Amino acid sequence: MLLNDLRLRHVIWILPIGLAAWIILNWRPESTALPGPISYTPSSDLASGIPLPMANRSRPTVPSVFATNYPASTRLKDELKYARQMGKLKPENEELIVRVINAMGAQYNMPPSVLWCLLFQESRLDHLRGISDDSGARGIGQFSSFSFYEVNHNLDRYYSGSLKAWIELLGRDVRPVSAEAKRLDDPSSYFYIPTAVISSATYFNNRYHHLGRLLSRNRIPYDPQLLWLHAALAYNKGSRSVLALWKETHRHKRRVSGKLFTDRKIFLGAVASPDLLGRALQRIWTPSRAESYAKEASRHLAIINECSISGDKP
Amino acid sequence: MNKKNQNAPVILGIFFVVTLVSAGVIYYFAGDNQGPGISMIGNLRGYFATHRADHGSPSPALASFSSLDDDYKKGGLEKFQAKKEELRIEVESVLKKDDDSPDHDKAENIAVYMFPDLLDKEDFERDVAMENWYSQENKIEQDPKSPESRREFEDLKNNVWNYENPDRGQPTVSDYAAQVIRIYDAMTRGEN
Repeated sequence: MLLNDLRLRHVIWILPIGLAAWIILNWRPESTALPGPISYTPSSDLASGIPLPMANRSRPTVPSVFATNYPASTRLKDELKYARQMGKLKPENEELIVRVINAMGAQYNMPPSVLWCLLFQESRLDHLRGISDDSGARGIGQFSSFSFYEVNHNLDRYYSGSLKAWIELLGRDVRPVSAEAKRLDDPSSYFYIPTAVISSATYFNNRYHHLGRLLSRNRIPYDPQLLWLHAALAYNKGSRSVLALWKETHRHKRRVSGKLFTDRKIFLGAVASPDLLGRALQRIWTPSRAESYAKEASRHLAIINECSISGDKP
Repeated sequence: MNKKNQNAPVILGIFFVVTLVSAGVIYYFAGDNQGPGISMIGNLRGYFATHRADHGSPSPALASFSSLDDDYKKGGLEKFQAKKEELRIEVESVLKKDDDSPDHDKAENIAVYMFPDLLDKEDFERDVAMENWYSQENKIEQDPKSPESRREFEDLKNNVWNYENPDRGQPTVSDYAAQVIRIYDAMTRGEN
């Protein structure tokens, strides 16, 4: 009888504690993403067998702002044409790059135009760029040693479906990926086009999901399409630059800080503003470096915007 | 002696006086004294005030951040942790002032890399730091010099670089990030 009482007493305590522990362990902040397109990738462009992304299927949807024909601006179209004419971009390489970009777009529900424009901006789609440079950034997505570390050691840290996407597209887990210059056809080499595009897309997708998670945790609604531009800035200038801008806007322009995540013009304006991004970076860097990084950031983002979004002129 | 040589001491004297006066003006406007309301000179003062924020601090306790790696190398983990605790108290006190001063920026940068729990709960960088280097720092301090601590250091270092590097062509990190990397590098290298 006494034993039964003891057991009963334990059960009374264990049940609520267990329930609380289960809730804590399984609690995830609800996404604050506003409705976005179901898919950015036209079904005709998909490699066979790649399913459409499940995310947002049950939610209301809005049309994509991203261009299906890219680069979107005449200026960049001319630049691409010039690269082809000069033989800097071989047709077979370009075709392969676009095919893998579309496949990754479907895997990660990522606008192919933004990925294409990001890679074009980083390397002009030259997958061998910096091949003989041992210390700097290399390849189509300008990877450094720490970018390799992330895809090799923390592949699923920000997005749980990364490894699955790699295996579906490359047939196996090809990691560790490295800047292996002697074996260009080795799927573990970053100079092998499919691996380079997949690694770069994954690094970009990680920035997107990381930033989205931070906004959701702070219960800040965001436009999932606009967040790709925030992620493109984080890819090139580090997530810290983006967060510094978010913090600076919150500090001094509270009225517009929420619109940074829903209004593209306000975001582009904030990046170009010496009082916002410029001042934010001065809190971290010397004034001359801060000014230089802020200018580069503004230029980089303006080009990605011009290149990837329909009807946006420079 | 020709005429040119006769004038040389006068020219040198003028140059000396001009240099001295310029240095005095710069020193005055770079200091904490309020300058006159001339916008150009006001901007000059602002430049020096900001510049100072990046390279040093009037607060001696915050300045101790830049010698934490030496504290570890010379005095071991115990001295390091004592100095770190002193720094933490100072950072906490500066952050509580909630102003826009160079010291506040410096304290916030130090907090991002060493004391993210002191940052406001709504600060976006707090969660990033907690997940990407703060837990690794704690693990390293619990068992420095072990092979496991070196793995934690590699993770910390790469996460910091991925988070901060603003220049893909010429990779770099801030003085704050570089100092934290130096500290935990020293702490996880094999026995001296």
